[in-house]
Order: sequence, then structure tokens, then C-alpha cells
Amino acid sequence: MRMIEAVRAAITEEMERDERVLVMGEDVGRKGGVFGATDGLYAKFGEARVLDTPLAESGIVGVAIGAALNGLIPIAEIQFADFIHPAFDQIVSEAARTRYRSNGDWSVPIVIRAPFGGGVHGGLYHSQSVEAFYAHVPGLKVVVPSMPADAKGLLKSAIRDPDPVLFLEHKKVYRLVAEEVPDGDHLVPIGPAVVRREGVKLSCFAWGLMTHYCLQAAEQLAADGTSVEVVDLRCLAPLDRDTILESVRKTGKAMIVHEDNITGGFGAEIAAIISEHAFDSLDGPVVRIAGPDIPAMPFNTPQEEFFMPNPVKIAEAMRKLAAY
Amino acid sequence: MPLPPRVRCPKPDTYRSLAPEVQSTEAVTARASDNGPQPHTLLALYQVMVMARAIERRLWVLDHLEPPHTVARSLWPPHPVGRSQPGRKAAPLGVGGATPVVTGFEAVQAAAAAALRIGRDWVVPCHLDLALCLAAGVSPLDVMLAVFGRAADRASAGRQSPGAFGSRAGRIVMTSATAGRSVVQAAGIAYASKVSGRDEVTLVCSDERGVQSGDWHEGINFAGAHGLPLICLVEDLAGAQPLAQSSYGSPAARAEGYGLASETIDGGDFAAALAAFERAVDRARSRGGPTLIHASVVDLTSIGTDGGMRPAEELEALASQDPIDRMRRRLQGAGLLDAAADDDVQRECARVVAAAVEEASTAPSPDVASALDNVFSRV
Repeated sequence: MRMIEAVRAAITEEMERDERVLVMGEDVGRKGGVFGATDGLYAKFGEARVLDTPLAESGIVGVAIGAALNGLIPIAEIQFADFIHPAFDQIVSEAARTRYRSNGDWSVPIVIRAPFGGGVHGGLYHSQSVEAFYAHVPGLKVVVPSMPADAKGLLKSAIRDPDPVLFLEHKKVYRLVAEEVPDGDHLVPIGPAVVRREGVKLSCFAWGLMTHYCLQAAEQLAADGTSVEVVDLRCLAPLDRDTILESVRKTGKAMIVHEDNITGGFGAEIAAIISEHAFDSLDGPVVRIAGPDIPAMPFNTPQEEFFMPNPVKIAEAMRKLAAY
Repeated sequence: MPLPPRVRCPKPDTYRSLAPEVQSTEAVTARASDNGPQPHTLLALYQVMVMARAIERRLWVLDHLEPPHTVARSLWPPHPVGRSQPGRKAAPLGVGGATPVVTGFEAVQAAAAAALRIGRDWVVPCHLDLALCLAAGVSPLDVMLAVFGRAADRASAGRQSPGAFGSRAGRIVMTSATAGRSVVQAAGIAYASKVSGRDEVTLVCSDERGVQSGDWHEGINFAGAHGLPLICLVEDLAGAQPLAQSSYGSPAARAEGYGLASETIDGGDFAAALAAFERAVDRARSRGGPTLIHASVVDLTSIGTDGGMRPAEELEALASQDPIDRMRRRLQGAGLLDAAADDDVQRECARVVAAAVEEASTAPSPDVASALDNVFSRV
């Protein structure tokens, strides 16, 4: 099963399990979503639970918040993460803060799904990585699966979570890989990272598409006799610090790979955690491989390739760090 | 109609007689269309109005005259928009002296509460809605605990700025600092009511400035498109906004463009307001869709738009339009209230507020460690 089908399976099963669950967003109904994540749900569950909304992201999230306050469990789809910014206020100032400002009296159990990331010629407005903005926000969980089984299990957990969850799905991963996905109540807890490949020479931390690129790069280094550990973080908030630090203490070297531009990207937070808590274990600089500090990913092929980390760039950086 | 027994303004703990958990809402929401509200309902709503005014006046004193740091100095009650405060020294937080503008909104808020089934319908208030929230179950002590930022503040444990009322049990939704932002959420609440097949009505309130925000428009657009059981109250202090900052065209006209029914009312006229809310509630419950009610009230405060003091004769002329005085005259005309009973109401409200201040001012602040609580669920 591919990730897009895994996402659809998770939503379908949760809507079958709990009639409070509903889907809302732009073109999620009759069209079945721009990527097909909600394909067939409109026919199966009807208009009231598979709701086509106006093209107004703040309104989508705001309506979802209200529906959650009144007992429903909305899954709000933002058609592309690039367009989530009008809803920043509703997500950050409202959904993520409601439990805190009411001292636990109110909560907002919503999931906001958003396809993100580049490498698909999406240009400036269909390629962005937005995780750093939101992983900064206490009260909000940020989940970024890289594998189909995780996508299903984490999304089901997100839907059952009593707090707001931003669920970022890399659009290039939707149909990139396929794997066995457990039927039925397959739940993956929100929080723990997973070691995708064990190694001893250096640790590489990634999420989304970059997990796959790091695994490909690690395979190249293995051919050279260099053992690289690849950790798929899966969740950025809460962040599995223990797995990160345990890996760094084992290998002594750390690399973070993300698509988002480097300055203020989430890699900076991981680097800071490592330097604060595993400084004595380090045998080299903490390295970040990330997009350049330009406003967004260009549409044209050479500049898109310039922007995106890829297995070749990552492998080169791995070799350099391993030799440090 | 014979006079009822002398009115007693409820004590703080019994002020919740209007709240759902201790009393059937039927008495409070007696309908004007059924020969009007019952006498005790009218009197209870009058008490709410007087209590709101008493709280507001006490807050003004606390904010201006008490020693610094005795209260959590705040932005609430809100200040007249765009007005300087001549002769006033700056408050410790740089807020400046405050002349509250909650004054004038008491009647329209009491009428809104009277038309709703408190505790079953949803109230999404804004910072102006002191009287509405008192009618919906918030007590004067609740208000003061929030003003002092105390641990026992039921809405927020002293976290949220005062004036952000909330009670999940009472279905009073705690909102943030931006009035328009809550309108889309209210549309979501109403959507949930509709698709769940419940005949709940949601009331969402904003000031006139909220009408100008994008979220307000997205919210009423959604409500209109889905015919939601939503009432959008716009509370407008006449003359508070310079023309350049005001909406072009009335809120009611805008609402009609989104498919909402709309009414523009004199917010100081309790009877007119109650009739408008009852029509809106009937429309919502009968799946007739949302309604916008634009309620204008007269600015009764003593500071003019130029920041100077308004002439005494101007204020005296305005006094006859004070919604509390109008309500009092209505009750007296109906034989429901005499001067002695009214004195009792005034004195009892003052006593209740003084007691609430005393209790709240000596209540403990939250533990510092509790600042880390309730970021996420513990489940």
C-alpha cells in the first residue's frame, strides 16, 4: 500500500469507527481531494461528514475548531501546506492555546492535514516545508510520516488525540514507496522516532521525503564501508530527544537533513539539543543539510534541483562528516 | 399587576440562579411572544444589568485609584477607541487610564440571554459581554477572580486577560483577544449542532471593529452558505469609531450579502432587542438560517471623541437613554418595581461586588509551577 492509500484507509476506518469524525477542506468532497486522499468518502459518508469548504484556510481551521468545541472530531485538509498561512492565527492563537488559556476546561481535538514539500515542480507556492513554524508552538503536535504504515498508524492516533495535530504529508512520498500496511486498528503512538537503519559511524536525522533520501545515501556509503545510522523522527512535536541523543552518543557524529531553508529550520533545534546534551559525545561538528536561504523553491528544473537536498548531496556530506 | 415581594439581589453564590446547573432555563427564557417575560425574569435581568454596571464602576475605581499591583492591571474593561485620557497618569502597564465602554450594552445583552436557553444554547462572547455572561452564569466573584489573576478563576486560573469569560459547563466559549476570530469558530459550533440534529442556537458577539476582520466575513459566509443556526450580534458604540476606520455600509447590509437575515436595533431598548433576538432564535431553531443583529448603543461615558470632557448638559441629556434607566422605567411602569425595591437592588449589587472584590483580592495567586500545566492533555 502507498502512503496516499494509507492516509485514505486511516480516515475511512476512523470515520467508520466514530461518527463524530468528519473531513472538511477544499475539494475534499465530490472531487475526493486534489491528491485523492479522500476519494470515495463523499459517496460513503455523505455531504455533512465530507464537507467541501470555501477557499479560505482561516475559515476551514476556524470552523473545525468550533465543530470540535461542540463535540465533533474534524479532520481539516489544507490543500497545500503553502496555503496554510492564512490559518496560522487560528492554529497558533486558538487551537494550540485553547486548552492552556482555559486551564484545561476546553480542548480542540482536530487534525489538520497538509501535503507539503518539493521536488514535484510545484514552484514557489506548491513546494514549501512549513514544519518549523508549527513545531515552535506549544500545545500543537506536529507529525511527519515518511512510510505508508506509519502514515496510517500515526493518522489514526492523531484523530484519537485530544489535542490539535498538524499532520504533514510529503506529496512526493504519496506514491513513492509501497509497503505492507496492517489492516484494522494499527496505531502508531505520536512521539517516538524510529531507527530506519542502524549504523555506527554517524547519525542522520530526517523526516518526510528526506528520510528516503538519507536511506539511499546511507546505502551508497555502506558500499564504501561506512556505516550510517538513519533516524526517522516521524514527529517533531513532541520530539523524541532520547532516541536522538542515544544515537549521537553511539556514533559521535550528527547530521540533520531537511528541505526547509536552513536558517531557523527545525534542524537548528535538533543541533541545539545535541550540543546541549551530548556535547561530550561529539567527535565532529553537527551538520545541517537543508535548502538555501531563498524565499521558496523555484519552478524551473535546475533551480529546483539546486534547492532540494538529494541522495547525492547527502552522501557527499556524509562522507565529509565521516572523515572529520 | 400587584407588586411582587421586595426584590432581593442574589448573593454571589446564588447569582447562578440563571445558570443551567441549578435551575431550569425555562423560567429565564420565558418568551415575550407568550405574553412577554415573566415578572421574575424581567427583574432578574434588571438585576443583571445593574450588577454589570456596579462591577464596571468598581473596576474603574480599582484601575485608577487603588495602589499599583493590587489588581492585575489589564486592558479590560476596554477603553473608548481612539480617545486620550486627559489628566490621567499612565497605569503601570502603560495601558493608560480606562473609562469603560461596557456601559450602554447591558440591555441588548440581557435581551440576548433572555431569548436563549442558557446552558443548552451556545454563547461566544466578546470582551464587551459582561452582562450577557452574568446572565449566562458567570458570577461577580468569577469576574473579580479573573481581574486579580487568581488561581480560583474558573475560566482560566488567572492566565487569560480579564474579560475573557468562559465556562464549558455553561457553554460560554472562552475567546481570545480578537473579536472577529471567534465568528468562524461559532460557525463551526453551529455546524456541529446542525449536522448532529440538535436544535441548539449559537450566539456570537463582536464589536463593530470585529466586522472588519477577514475571519468575520469567512464565518458569516460559511453560516449563510449552510443556513446555520447562528446569531451574530454586532455591538456598536455609536460614534466610537472614526469614519475612516469604520465599515463602508452597515453590518446589516453586509450580512444580507452573505445570505443572512438582519436587523438593526436600538441596543438600549430591551423590549426591541428581545423581540429581535426572539425572531432570530425562532428562525434558527426552525432551520431558517442565521441572523445578524446590529445593535447600536449610545456612548454614555464622560469623555468626548476629542478626548475632552463632555459638557454636563450633554451627559444629562444622554442619561435618559441609559438602558438601565429605561429598563427601570419599564419595570416601574408595569408595576413590577418601586423605589424601595430598586434601592434594595442597587445596594445589594454594590454589596455583592464589594464582597467579591474583598474575596478575590485576598485569594491566592496560582503557583508558578502550574504555569506548565494544561499545555497538552495528560491522557
